Amino acid sequence: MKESEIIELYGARDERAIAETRAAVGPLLRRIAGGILRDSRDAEEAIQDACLAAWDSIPPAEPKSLASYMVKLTRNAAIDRARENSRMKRGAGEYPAVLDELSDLASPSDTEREAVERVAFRGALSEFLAGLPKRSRMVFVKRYWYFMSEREISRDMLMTVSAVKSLLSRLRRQFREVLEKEEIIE
Amino acid sequence: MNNDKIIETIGDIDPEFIKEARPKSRSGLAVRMASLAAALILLAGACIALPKLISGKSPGPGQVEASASDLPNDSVPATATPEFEGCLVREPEKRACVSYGDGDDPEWAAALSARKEAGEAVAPMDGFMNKVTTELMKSGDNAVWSPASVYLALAMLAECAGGDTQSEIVALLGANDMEAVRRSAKALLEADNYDDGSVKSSLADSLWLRNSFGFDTETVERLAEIYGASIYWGDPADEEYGKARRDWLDRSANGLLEEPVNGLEMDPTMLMGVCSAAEITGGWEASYKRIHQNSYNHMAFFGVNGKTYPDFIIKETIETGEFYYGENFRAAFDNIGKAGNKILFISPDQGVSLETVLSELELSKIIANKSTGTLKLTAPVLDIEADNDMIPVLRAAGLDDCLSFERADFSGLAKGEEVALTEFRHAARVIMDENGVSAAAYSNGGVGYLAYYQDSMTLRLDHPYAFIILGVSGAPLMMGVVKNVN
Repeated sequence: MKESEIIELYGARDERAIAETRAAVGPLLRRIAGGILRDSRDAEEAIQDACLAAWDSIPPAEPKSLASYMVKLTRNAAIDRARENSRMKRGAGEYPAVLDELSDLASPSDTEREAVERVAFRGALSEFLAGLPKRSRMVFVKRYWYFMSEREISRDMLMTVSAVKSLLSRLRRQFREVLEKEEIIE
Repeated sequence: MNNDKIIETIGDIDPEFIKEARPKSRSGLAVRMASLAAALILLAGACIALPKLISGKSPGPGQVEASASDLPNDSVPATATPEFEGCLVREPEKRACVSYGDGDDPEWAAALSARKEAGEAVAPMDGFMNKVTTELMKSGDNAVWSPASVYLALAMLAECAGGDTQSEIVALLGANDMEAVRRSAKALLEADNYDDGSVKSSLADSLWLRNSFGFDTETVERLAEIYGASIYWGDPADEEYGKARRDWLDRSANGLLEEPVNGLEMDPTMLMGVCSAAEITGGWEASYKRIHQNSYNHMAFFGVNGKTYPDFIIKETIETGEFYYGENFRAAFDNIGKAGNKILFISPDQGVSLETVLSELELSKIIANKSTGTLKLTAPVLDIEADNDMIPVLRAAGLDDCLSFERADFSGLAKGEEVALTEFRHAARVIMDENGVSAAAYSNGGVGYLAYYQDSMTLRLDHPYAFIILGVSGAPLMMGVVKNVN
């Protein structure tokens, strides 16, 4: 079934929408949730959460691409579950390591400023990524979007693990400089 | 903004950036879904059983023996990757074999009789052999292959398959159902696996699993039990695992296929692979006389590409020679060793092509209806080798679904995965002279994931190829077609 037809099923509140979504993009969602959570049961539950979120949000949401929409929902659901696992001291995949690395870019702020900061951060990140060589950008996204381990990235990109580590460290430093220059962080 | 929020914000990046960075290989990300109840039980089993399996046995790759039932079942998380790679986790028991001795040994005769009895359950492979041979011959060059090896590799793949994918493999093998394939494969392995001192005949199988994945243990068990498969477990991207497979193939082919084996690399997107190797080495029951090309005879071989002058071997067998007159060909047998192995030479009648004869060959009919008398046989001394990508051959012979990422069903081993038969190489070599025959072959089939990006390539220019030298303008300044290299 085409993506547009599945979106129409959501619109018509037809429960087949969820099964068709799974049939259409299930393997992709499993890769994403599985990559973040490293546990098939948790990954399956994250996908279920994402499907429910899609059911609750379409309509009014009208995604242009069901795959992109589901990918985002699945990532969010998997991250929520990884956070929970991390808090409960259960296996949380690469999440704690990624969280730790990103502390380079974090800064204390009050709730009021956070929404503004977030918009500014998103804009700076988009610009930063767009300006990177494709290969560097891919490494960054594999680590911080897909939560791939450094070893997995090294295999995917045909790089050594130390080269991946070094590139990631350099990219974080460069991005931090951008954030500082634009006074998004101090 | 704290780092939790940063992670969330990174989630909002341009979808194009997300798409371009999608994981290429599945290593570490392959997580299999199953029922939640099963997952709860089996996750624990997988995490505990494998390291225990290894630590409790002798150390190091290739040293570990364990039951396939010890392998993790469904739903192994990526984090459960065991602390070993390129490792043999199960090896079939070696069978004791009675030596030929002087030929009067009743124990040897009983063992031979038992093998022959087992061999009666091997179903004819005529249709399968003829289809594949016909396709292989289309290259126009010499063809050499082992139907038994390809049969066993395909049978193992059929065990891993389900639905229409399994059915089309079973149909190509000329069987009605999977049970018939199993019976035939088991009988073949029982009948033609021995080394009695007069002949070494060996059929060996192995299964190569991706270590970040949970497989159906029933299927793994069946492959070990029926096909005698050694079970290996490792990371396909790991060079050591690739080397373990090359070593297995080299050993199983008794070193006869060194060059093609050395060129084999493991596909990092491989989910699982099957290998089947065949070897037969034995002297003639009665030896031949060799006619050297420089002697007075100057016998010629009238090949497709012209006349050549190889050495020939010649023998006359009085009264006990075996032969068969077909409708458009003549065929003659000779014995290899003492245990019932034979070679069958087939020569088309004048005006009839080899292709025509081989496309409709009825091997069982020839064997059943051979005549006995005086046979004078002359054949060239031979050392032929071939290394074929069998995917196009198998496609032309009837496989379709199992080559399609959309339709392939390998649920027998791995449910719900988007995989297909991505690799099937077959190499074979036959050496024949006045003393006897040495032959070996291997089949190497791999089921893998679709690579997301075609950004790497291995190009081995060891067969006819073309090249073009381009100018800065993109114009073809020079072009070459290489068919032979001296």
